Amino acid sequence: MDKKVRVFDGQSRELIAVLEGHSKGIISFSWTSDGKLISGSWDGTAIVWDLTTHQIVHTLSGHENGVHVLGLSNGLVATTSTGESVNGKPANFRLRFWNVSSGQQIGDSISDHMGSIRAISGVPGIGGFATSSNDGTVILRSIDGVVIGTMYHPAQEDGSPPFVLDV
Amino acid sequence: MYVLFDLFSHLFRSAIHTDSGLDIVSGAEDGSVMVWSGTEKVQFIPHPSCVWCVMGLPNTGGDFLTGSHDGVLRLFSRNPDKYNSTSAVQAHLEFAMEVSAAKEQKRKGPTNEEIAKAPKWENRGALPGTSENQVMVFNDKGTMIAAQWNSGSWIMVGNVTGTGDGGSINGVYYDHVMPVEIETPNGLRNLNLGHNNGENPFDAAQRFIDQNELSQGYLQQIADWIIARSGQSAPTLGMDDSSTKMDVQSSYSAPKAFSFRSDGYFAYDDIPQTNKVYGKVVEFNGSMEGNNKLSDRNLELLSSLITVLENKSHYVTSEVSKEHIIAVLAMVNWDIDKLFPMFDLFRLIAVHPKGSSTLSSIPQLSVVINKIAKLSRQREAFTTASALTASKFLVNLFRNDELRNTVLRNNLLSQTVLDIVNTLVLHSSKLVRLAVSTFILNLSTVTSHYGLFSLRLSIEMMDSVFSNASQLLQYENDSVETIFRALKAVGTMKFNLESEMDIYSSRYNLSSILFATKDKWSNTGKMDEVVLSCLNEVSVLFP
Repeated sequence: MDKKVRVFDGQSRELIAVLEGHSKGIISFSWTSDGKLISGSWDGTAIVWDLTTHQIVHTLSGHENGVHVLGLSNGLVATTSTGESVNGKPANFRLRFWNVSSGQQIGDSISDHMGSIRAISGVPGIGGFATSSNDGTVILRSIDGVVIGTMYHPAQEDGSPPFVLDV
Repeated sequence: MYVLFDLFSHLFRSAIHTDSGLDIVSGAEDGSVMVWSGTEKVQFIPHPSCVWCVMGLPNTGGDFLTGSHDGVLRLFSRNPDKYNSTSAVQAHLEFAMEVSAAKEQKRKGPTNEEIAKAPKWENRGALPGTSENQVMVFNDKGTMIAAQWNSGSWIMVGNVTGTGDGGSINGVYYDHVMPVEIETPNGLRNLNLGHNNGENPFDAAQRFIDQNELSQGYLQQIADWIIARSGQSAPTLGMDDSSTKMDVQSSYSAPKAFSFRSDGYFAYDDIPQTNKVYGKVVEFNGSMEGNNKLSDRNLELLSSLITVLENKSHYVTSEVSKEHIIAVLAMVNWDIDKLFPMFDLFRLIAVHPKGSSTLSSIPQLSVVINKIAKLSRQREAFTTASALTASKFLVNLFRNDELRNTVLRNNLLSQTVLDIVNTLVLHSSKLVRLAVSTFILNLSTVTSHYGLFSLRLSIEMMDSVFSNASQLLQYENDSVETIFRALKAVGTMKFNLESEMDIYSSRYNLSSILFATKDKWSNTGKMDEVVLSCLNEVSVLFP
């Protein structure tokens, strides 16, 4: 995993462009509703790229370490963080919403997961999305992030929840 | 019903999608894959290893892929046409076998392969440690051992014993349970460390520390040990390229220099230069006569004892017997200025795991303590060398559980020790005063334990901490370290026992003494940051 975004032509499979801007490994991708690419990285930022000009449109910063991204159907972008260390323990796993045109955060952060947020994915059927976390849960949400339901992976044999790495 | 219908043989990472509608699939590091419809659980599909990613395939009526740690991509479908094909049925059978084999493997022990893979102990010279106190496992002629990097060499700290691997500790199941002999500040202990596949080694290490009341300072080492033992790479809080370390991981480091949390008991455990002690014994023996002259047998015993005590890397396995200790006491009536080799040997016996245990169970313990008491009452006679080695021995009484508990639980013994310390506190030698300061710090550390090892300090002990600390704070002009330890001692007492200590702090005027101490030292420039901040913290505790 390096820090570059590589764009390949879908037909010819050739490398068209290499986009630099992240300072640490990139761990997630998504698309905005208007066709821009969003990348999330361990450097604590998400970057919105215009793939026609290969330029950075916005850098969404201030995340606690690893960022996963999801473009939402309402035009906003949702980002999650894997958390930072507080007193030697991981904490502050946040879900945030951003306005892509302004590059500004919309509303407050949501911090209802109890472990690093490892993935975020759209659930078209309810017009919302789901986040999965090291706390062993997948949380189904409306497009505003409001919790519809929490689903639990079965506990491991020692009783601890497994890290849900992807959803 | 999702059934596996096809297999690929390489792993890929992908962007994440869920299926259309309400179907959601999630994968976890314990290999569990869950399929949901909305928030309702539809199906649980365990995998043989950690599932890194899952992906719904659009326009397939709900097929999805899982990518797991074993490098295999598995495609699942609920379409009977797909999963009833012969290749699919075959694939499913293999999958079921892989899953149950993986479950079995969890219960098996560290294999011969794993031991063979560990670096050979005899080749450790070629593998210098990268940091002080780093722990690594080695293959010592077919046994897996753990060793710690200390001042330029690998010191063996214990065996990784036991063939069983998975098991339970206190009713909680772990994928790996390792019975380990480990030398802790409280002596040699047989402990069980449990951890799970995919678990952050720091979580497992912290749990081990909490369960066994070990010093927090061991966190990094134990985590290193788990990582080395289980062959894991970086903890699963996120994959990263090797050039960047996660912020979270790097913050799990040993606590800063000053804190009221117990760091374990201080002990004077430096090994004297080889042959120095024995040389002195022989030299002094030359001028002894009659009963005081050591027999050949005693000289032999002393020689072998000294060899054992000097060989720190084998403390875990070497023996110190009652005969050895009796031989040391054969010097007890030597001239006062020739007694320090005897006390120095006791100093080392106290930190030797078997030595301290043996000493704690024989009357010779009282003999040596009473001898020190007698000498301390004849103050002028107690030469500095003897006073110093004797007081170091007293400090070392705390290091090993058995010896510490034996002394502290015996009213007569403990009172005798306190009397000695109370007499030595303002000794002319600053090193003796430092030893006294260290003694009361160790005594205060007893209050930091709870549970299995908790022992209530007697009134005389609590009083002794405050009385000696206040004298040291008032009169120590030389050694900042002495002041530091005295501060930590009263701070620790107050921190752990709270308002119970008010009677002592007022009896010894602690708050005004602290105030005066601040005054005396803060302008000299001789006190560093850490001590000054400690002084401030303690002053706050005693307003």
